[in-house]
Amino acid sequence: MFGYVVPYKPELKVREYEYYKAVYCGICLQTRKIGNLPRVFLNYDFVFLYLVLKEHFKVKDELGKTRCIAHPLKERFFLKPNEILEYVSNQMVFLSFFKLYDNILDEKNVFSYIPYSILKLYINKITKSHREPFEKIKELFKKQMSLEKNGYKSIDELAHNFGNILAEIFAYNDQELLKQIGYYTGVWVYIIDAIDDYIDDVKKKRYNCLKYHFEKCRQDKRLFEYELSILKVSLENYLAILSDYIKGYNNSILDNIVQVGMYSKTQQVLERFTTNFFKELKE
Amino acid sequence: MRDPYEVLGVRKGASKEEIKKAYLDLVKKYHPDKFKDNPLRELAEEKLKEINEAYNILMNDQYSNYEYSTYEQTSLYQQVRDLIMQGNIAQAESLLNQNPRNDAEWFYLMGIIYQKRGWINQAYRFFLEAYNRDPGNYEYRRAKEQFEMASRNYEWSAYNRGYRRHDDCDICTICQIIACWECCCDNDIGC
Repeated sequence: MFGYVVPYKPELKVREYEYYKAVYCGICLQTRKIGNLPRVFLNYDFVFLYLVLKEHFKVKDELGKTRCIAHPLKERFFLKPNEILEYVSNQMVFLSFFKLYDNILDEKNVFSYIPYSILKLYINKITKSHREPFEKIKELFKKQMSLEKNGYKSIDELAHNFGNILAEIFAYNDQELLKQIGYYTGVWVYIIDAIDDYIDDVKKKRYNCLKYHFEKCRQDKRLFEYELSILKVSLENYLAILSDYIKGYNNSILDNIVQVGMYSKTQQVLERFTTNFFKELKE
Repeated sequence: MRDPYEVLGVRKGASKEEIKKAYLDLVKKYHPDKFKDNPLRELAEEKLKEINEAYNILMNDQYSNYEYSTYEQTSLYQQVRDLIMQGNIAQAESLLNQNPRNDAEWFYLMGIIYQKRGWINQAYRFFLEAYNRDPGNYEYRRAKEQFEMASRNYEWSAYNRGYRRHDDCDICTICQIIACWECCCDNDIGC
């Protein structure tokens, strides 16, 4: 996940905002127990994962106050460690590992190689007792890469596979509802990320799953708008399904994230894409 | 279904010997054993299926003017609908894929299959195709509109929860606005 699953700040209550930040700090501090390097990859998406799991298993969590390296001056709230927090931080390490793995194979990026090999050590540490979920995600990631390499034209095929990856990550204790939530989050994240990166990818001649649909729109503004409206409707449909699942938890932060936060991200990304598409992609 | 002669790459009205020779050559070319560990393998398998079908049709003595009758067409769609009802999505899809058509019903059924699978983007595309081919059909229109409706409802709930389009109205912009306002006042244009 890449920082798309965030709340819409103007509509958060102050206490919700404080709690949200506390979870973020909690994940960071929890990850420190594994090692300092993975903390670099921390992002807000995993707060969403924590909140979903917390609501699902009705966990009572506690806050504490501490200073840390990033905020040495003022004491901040953080979430005291619990089982779910540990799970979330482990998943974060997994996902950042795969992202680096992807970078190495994709761009032959030497700089990713060093953190990659260090992360590999951490992963061995985490998965010492049970390696099975990790292997499952790895398999799906490999499939994702082979799909991208073969230049698949279908947006859904790729988004579906990515959705399955997130379904595995969300599925703590193999719960079906969590899998569904993970799946739809993943599909949405994949497509929104593809839209966001589209112009960059075309310039750098990288693979992008939207290429097939948007390449022919370069000269035709009406066709572009047509394709864009299809994307918009499908993205919002994914979100509508997701928000139906989330509503059941009755958690105001989660509602904010899914109903407004992700919506405003969608609008932002689509708007940026529309304004830059014809400006930047002149031949 | 493509023209079987075209699939095998022989001229129309070719003799059975010619057809057999062309068939054997193609089978050799696309044999799955040659595509072990190759990403093109699925493609080759599909191709081979098509070749086999074309060969069977041409070798059949009854084959004269090969064309699907309307009767067969409707029965195909009925079959697909039954399969979907039974929840046998994979088989329904392969049946449709084996008989590609260009009419609204084909796209509509394809859309349903993708919708069942949860691939909304693709499903919506198929429904749009069906609708464009036959805008008067209630079923196709409803299928298409149900997605648009869900998307509108979702948007609506975001607005109700306080989403505003330009939320970047921070201190800076307010200052700018006030500054502009002041200029106007000084010049006796505004206020």
